[in-house]
Amino acid sequence: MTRRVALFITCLTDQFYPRVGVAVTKILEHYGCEVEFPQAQTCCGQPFFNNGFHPEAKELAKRFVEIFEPYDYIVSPSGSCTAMVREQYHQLFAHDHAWEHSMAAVTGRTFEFVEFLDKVLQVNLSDLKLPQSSSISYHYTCHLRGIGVKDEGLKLLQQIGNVDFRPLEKTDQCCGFGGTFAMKYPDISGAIVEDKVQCIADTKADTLICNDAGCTMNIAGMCHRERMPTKVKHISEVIAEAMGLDLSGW
Amino acid sequence: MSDTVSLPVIGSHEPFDFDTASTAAAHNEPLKRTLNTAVMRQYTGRQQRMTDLPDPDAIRTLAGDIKQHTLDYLDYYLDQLVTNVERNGGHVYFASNGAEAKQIILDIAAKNRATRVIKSKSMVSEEVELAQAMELAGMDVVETDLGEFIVQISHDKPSHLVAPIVHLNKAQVAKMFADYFGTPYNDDPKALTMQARDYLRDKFRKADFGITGGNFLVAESGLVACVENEGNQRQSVTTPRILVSLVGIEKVIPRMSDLAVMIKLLSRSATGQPITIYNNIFGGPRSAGEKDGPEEFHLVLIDNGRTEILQSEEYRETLRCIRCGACLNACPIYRKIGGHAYGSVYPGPIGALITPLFQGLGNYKDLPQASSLCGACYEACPVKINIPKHLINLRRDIVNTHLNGPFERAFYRFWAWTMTSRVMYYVMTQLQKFDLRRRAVHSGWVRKLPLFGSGWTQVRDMPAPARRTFHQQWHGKK
Amino acid sequence: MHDPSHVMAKVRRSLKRSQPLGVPPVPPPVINEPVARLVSSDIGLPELFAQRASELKMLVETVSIDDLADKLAAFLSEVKTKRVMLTDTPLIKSLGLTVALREQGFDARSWSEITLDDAYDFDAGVTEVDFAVAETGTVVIRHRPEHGRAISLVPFVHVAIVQPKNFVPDLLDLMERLTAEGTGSGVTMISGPSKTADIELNVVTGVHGPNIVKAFILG
Repeated sequence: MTRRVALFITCLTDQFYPRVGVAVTKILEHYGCEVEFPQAQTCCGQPFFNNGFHPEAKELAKRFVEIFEPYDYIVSPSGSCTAMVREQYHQLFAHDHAWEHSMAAVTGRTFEFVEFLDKVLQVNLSDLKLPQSSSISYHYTCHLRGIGVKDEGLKLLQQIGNVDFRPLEKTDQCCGFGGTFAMKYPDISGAIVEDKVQCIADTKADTLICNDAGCTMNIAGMCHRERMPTKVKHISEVIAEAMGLDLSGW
Repeated sequence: MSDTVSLPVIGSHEPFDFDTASTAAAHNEPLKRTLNTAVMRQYTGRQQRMTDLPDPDAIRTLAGDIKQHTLDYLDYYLDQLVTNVERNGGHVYFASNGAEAKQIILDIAAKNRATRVIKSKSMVSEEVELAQAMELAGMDVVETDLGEFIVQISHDKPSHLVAPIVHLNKAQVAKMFADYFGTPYNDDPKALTMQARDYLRDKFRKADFGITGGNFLVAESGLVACVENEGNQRQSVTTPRILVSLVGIEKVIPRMSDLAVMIKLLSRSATGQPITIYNNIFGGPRSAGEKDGPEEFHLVLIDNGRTEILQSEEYRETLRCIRCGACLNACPIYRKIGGHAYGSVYPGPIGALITPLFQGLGNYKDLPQASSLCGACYEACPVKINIPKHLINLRRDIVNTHLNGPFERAFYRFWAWTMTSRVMYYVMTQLQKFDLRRRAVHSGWVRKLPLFGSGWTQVRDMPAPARRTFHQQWHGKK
Repeated sequence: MHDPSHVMAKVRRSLKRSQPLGVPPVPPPVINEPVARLVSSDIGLPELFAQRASELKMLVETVSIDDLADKLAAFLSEVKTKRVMLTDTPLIKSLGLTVALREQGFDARSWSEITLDDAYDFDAGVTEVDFAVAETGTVVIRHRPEHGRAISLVPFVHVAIVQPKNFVPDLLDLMERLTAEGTGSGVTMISGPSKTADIELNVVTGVHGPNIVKAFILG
C-alpha cells in the first residue's frame, strides 16, 4: 500500500532551506511514499498564536486543516511547526464542533520528519554510509519536547556509517531563537546562542544537525558571525548524502 | 548587579522595566559564569534523581492532579485544615494581603512581648517583606537560612526560589562577611559557613519568636510540613515560645499520603536529593510536659492575589506550584539573566507567569514576552504546570486588552492576512527574498538589518533566502 | 479562626460556590502504588536503610543490644565528645545508658535533668527513633516530653538508636503509620548531617544542626 504523504514545508524552510524540502521528498520517495506538495499551503499560524493573535492564528489553522485533510500523512521538516499543529490546534479549536472532527483527523496524521521515519516508516539507516567520515554533533531542538520526540534523531544519525558522532554539551538547551523573541530580546537571545555556539565549537565537529529551520538560521547565523566553519544541516541532508541523492534539483 | 536593580515588591503595582534589567544581566559575564555552574549542577542533579522513580512522568501527573484537586475544592480543604489546626491547639488567621498578614504577626509578637525573631526561609514572607516590617517595628529579626542570612546582611534580594544567593560567588560572600563582622577575608565556603553558624547559634538560643513558611499544609491532620537542609527551620520550632507560620492558601494538600508523594518530588526537583536532610511536620503548641517547642502556634494563611488566580479556570493550575525552582534551572533565559532581572521575588518561568497574574499584566507585560517558549520549564515541572501555554495565553490577554502598541497589532494582523492566500504568500516571500538578497550582496549573509530586524543582526548574521523557494522548485518538478 | 477580610468567602466565590461544601468533594486522586512507591518489600529493610543513610553521609553500625553501651561510649570518645544528653525514652532508660556513660567518664545527663538552654552546651545527643524509613535512610522522631526536640538538633553529634521494629519500607508507609498512630506535637525526619550548599553550591555539613549523625541499628 502506497502512503500518500503531503509535505508541509513551513515558511522558513520554503524560503531559506528549500534543499531540505528536496531531501525530505526524495528520502520519503526512496521509502516508497507518494509525496505530494499542496501548493496552497502557507503558514500554520504559529507566529500569530505564539504572539497572542489567536483569531488570526485560527484562520490560518482552518486553512491548514482544509488543505491537508485529503492526505494519509502530513510530514514536516520542522519540529516547532509540527508542535503548533499537533498541540496548539486543540486549544484553538476547543469547543468548536464544526471543526473539531477534521482538526483532530489532520493533527493525528501530522508528523515531524524524523518522527515519521522512526515511528511510521520504522526505518533503519544501518545500511547507509557517508562517502567520507564526518564529525557530526546534534542539537536537540526544543519543540520536539512538545510532540514527545526524544532521541529518535540521534538514534537514526548514529546508525549511518562514517558518522563520527560528537556529543554536544547542553544539547537540550534552547538555542535562543524563539521566533520573534530573537528580535525582541537580542541581548538575552544573543547570550543564549553564544553559549550554544561555544558548546558546538567545543565538540570540534564539522557539522551540526539541527532539525528546525528557525534554530538553524539562529545557530548558523551566530557561527557565521563568529567565523566558525561549522556547517549546520538538517538530518535529511545527511541522510540524502548517505543515499547519494542529488539535492540540486529533481 | 543587586546594586543597580531595584525590586518592586508584590503589591507595589509599579510597571517594571524588564528591558534595562535583563539587558544589563545578559552582559554581566561574572554573573553568567556563576549562574551557569550552579544552575547546571542543580539541573543535572534533578535529571539524575528523577530516574530513581519508577515512572517519573506518571508521578508528576499524580502530583499535579493532587494539587489541582485541592485547588478545585480549596474551600473544603481550607475548612478541614482550620478545624484540625484548631483541634491541635493552634490558632488560625486569614490575611487578604501582605499588610494584613504583617499586622496580624506584629500583633501576636506585641501581645506576647516577643522581640527576638528567628526566621527561616520562606518565599511568601519575601513576597510581603515580612522581615523588613518586623525590623521597622523594632524587633531583632535574623534570617537563619545561610543564603537568606547573606541576603539580609548585604541588603540584597534572593534571586532563586531555593538557592537565594546563586547570583553570588564565594569571593563576593567573603567580602560581605569581612565587612559585616569586621573579620579577615576568607573565601573558604566551610569557614564562611562556620562563621555564620557561630553567630546564629546565640540567636537561636535566645530567640522567643520563630517564623516559618510552609511547603505543604495537610488538611486531614492540620499540620504544616517544611523541608530544609540546614536545621535552622528546626530551630524555629524548637526554641522560641511563640511560633508563627505564614503560608499561602494554595499550599494545602488533602492527606498525609499526598505528603509522601510531594516530598519525593520536591526534594528531587529542587536540589536533586532523594530527600532533604530535614522534613519537619508540626501544627500545634508543645504538649503538656514538653520542655521545648512553642507554647503557642499561630498559622497565618494569606491570599494576596491568590483568589484572583483561583477564579480563573484557565490560570488556576499555576497555583499548583510547589516552589521547587526546577523551571528556573531548566530555563535558558534564567541561566543567562538570573533572578533579579525578573523584578519580582518569583523569578524564572514560573515568575514570568505568576508575577503578572499577581501584580497586574500591565505592570509586567514584558515578562510573558521574554520567553523562547522552549518548553524546558514544563518538562521539569513536578506538578506539570504548562508554563509555555500560559505565557502564550498572557500574550493573548495583552493583545486583547491592547497593552501592546497599535503598530504591533497592525503589523501582526497584516502579516497574518498575507498568509491567507497563496498569491499574497508568494508576493511576500518574493519581496522578502529580493530585499534580503539585495542586502546580502555576495557573501550570502546579511550583516545589518533595519527596524525590527536589527535585533537579529545585533548579535548574529541573517542568511539570505535561496534563489528559488521550495514552492518554485516544486513547480519545476511536475 | 480570625478572618476579618472574609478570605474564606472569597475562596468560595472564586470557585463559584455560594455555600460551604457540606460533604467531601469527589475523593482526591488515588495514590497509585506502582507510580509512587519506591520500596514495597518488608525484607532487607535494615540493609537498605543502612545503604541509603550512608549515601546521605549518616554513619551506620549494627550492634547487639548487649554491646550497645560499650559501642556507644567508644563512638562518643572517638568523636571527642564529653557532655552527652540522652532522651528519657524506654529503651535508653531500661538499658541505663545515661549511668553507663557517666561511669565511663562522660558528663551524661538525661533530658529530664536539664533545661532547654543547657542543651546548647552539650556536645552530643543520644535518642531513640520512632521510625526508620528504608527508602530514604531517614530516622523519624515524634516530639514528646521524654524526647526533647533539641537533643537531636543542638549538639554537633547526634546518635540515633534504631530498633528492628522501627523500620518501614517507604515514605508512604511512614505517612500511613503517622496517620494511624498520631504525630504527637510534631515530627522531625532526619536524613543525614545538617548541610548547606548556598555558597556556589559547595556542600558544607554541620550548619545549624549536627555535623555527625550516627545510627546504631540493633541487630
